[in-house]
Amino acid sequence: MTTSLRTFFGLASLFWVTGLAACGPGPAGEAGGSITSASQGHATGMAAALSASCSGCHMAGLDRSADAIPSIEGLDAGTLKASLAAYRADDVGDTVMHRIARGYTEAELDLIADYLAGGER
Amino acid sequence: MPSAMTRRGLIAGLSATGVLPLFSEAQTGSARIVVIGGGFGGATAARTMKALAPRLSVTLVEPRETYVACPFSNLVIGGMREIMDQGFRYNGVAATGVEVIRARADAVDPTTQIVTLEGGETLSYDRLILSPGVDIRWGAIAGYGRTAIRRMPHAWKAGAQTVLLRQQLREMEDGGTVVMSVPPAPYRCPPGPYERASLIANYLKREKPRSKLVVLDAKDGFSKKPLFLEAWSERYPDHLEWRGASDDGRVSRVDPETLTFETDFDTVQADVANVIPPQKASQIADRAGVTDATGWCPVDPVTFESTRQPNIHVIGDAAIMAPMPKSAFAANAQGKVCAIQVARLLAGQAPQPTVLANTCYSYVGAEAAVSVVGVYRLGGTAISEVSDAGGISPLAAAPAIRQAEAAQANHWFGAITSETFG
Repeated sequence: MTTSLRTFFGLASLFWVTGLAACGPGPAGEAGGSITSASQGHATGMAAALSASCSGCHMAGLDRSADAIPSIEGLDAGTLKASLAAYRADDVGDTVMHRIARGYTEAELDLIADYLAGGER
Repeated sequence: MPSAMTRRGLIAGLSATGVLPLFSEAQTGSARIVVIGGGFGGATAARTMKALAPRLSVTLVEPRETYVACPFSNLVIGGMREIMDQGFRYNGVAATGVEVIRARADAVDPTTQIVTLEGGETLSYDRLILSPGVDIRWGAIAGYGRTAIRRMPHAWKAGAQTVLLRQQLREMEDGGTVVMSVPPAPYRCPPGPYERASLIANYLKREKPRSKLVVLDAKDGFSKKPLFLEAWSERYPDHLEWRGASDDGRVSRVDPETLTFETDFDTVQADVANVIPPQKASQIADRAGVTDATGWCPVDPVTFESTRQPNIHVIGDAAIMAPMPKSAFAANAQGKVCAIQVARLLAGQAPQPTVLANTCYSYVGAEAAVSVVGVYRLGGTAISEVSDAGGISPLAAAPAIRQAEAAQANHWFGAITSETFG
């Protein structure tokens, strides 16, 4: 079943195609730099690549009864942004998420949240 | 398929059978993409490539009919899992429109951009994605050659070797000594030896309590060390002895006939011997001319294109991605990003720096696991680890946290294998 990639790229397309249509291929950005504004991420099509580390665990379409890792399927962007921001601010969480979220800028997490929720937009 | 999935698919404008392509044929042309190696990196890259640009010709070259996953294979060695649960076929990859050729790639000519298969058949490519994994560095430990693996299995490529080590452990009499040697970095799965040590000790404690595991390590520091040391002293004080480099742990020679390990000052006798040998990029990478003097493949940190040969991208364990570890999680994520960058290059668009995370869970007991996380910025001339992110599970955590991470590890394995193999 190809559910995960279908979701991954179904969502990617919404942002990427839109971004490219609006702005054309953007500059590569600063070497190793951070995304500091949402428009920068959309314009350069960063959202899909930024979200590449999510689906390794949060793959869509898995058996929902096996929910040791919570499903993020169907969550709206606001909920995802609030969760990611909370993880980013949390120094002592029990899971891997607070350790991951701290590595991204707030703007990058917002892009990821928009991307992951893209199917609902 | 859950209803939410269907709903999302419809909203995203997807048909029931395919994805909305990010790249049209007009953008990418009808380029030919060849992927060598159907593991977590290559299978993911091939599927992603096809999903991004369905009009591309995408061919995956993989000799095995069934891939045997290394993650979770330590549970097989520890007697907690069956090898059958480690196998994945390529039907799911082929169903996405990837042409899967069951053959070994014998040669790559980077000048003519032609791959030659073992039978002599050739495949030409516009972009080649190499995800060939690792080979054993034969001879790096004196006495450890190709025939030694029957008596002293490495079990560092999952499959028959995994089953052999499991069988030797099962057949060992109680009171025996298991010896494992661990190489210097870099090698596939940095915390893997220590997870294996935990699970072998767990088996001995449970089934052969008069037996012991001795780990001879070529280094003093290793991934998740504080967590492993804590787990070992709590759980296996009588069944696991770890000797680091500064405690004469470095093995320079082994003898498969006598099952002995030689360090600088000692000879250690084993009843069951597991040699985790030094490794390098798989041989096809040498033949493609993409390895350097280290035996691994230097790559551009944004596109993963070889710095030694144009139009060849290297991902997964074979590539130099440090400080990203050689892990299945990293290879899978690199496969997705590599496909995105290759599609952009084909379409004449600038590659995009990005951020990747890695998560590795390791079991320390039957229902207890710990984790390490890293976040990496890929851009410019290097991959750099974000210093104030990542890290390991809390020390002295409640048992419930270790149990929860074991359940999360199990969930992760299901998720990543589904995404990779379908």
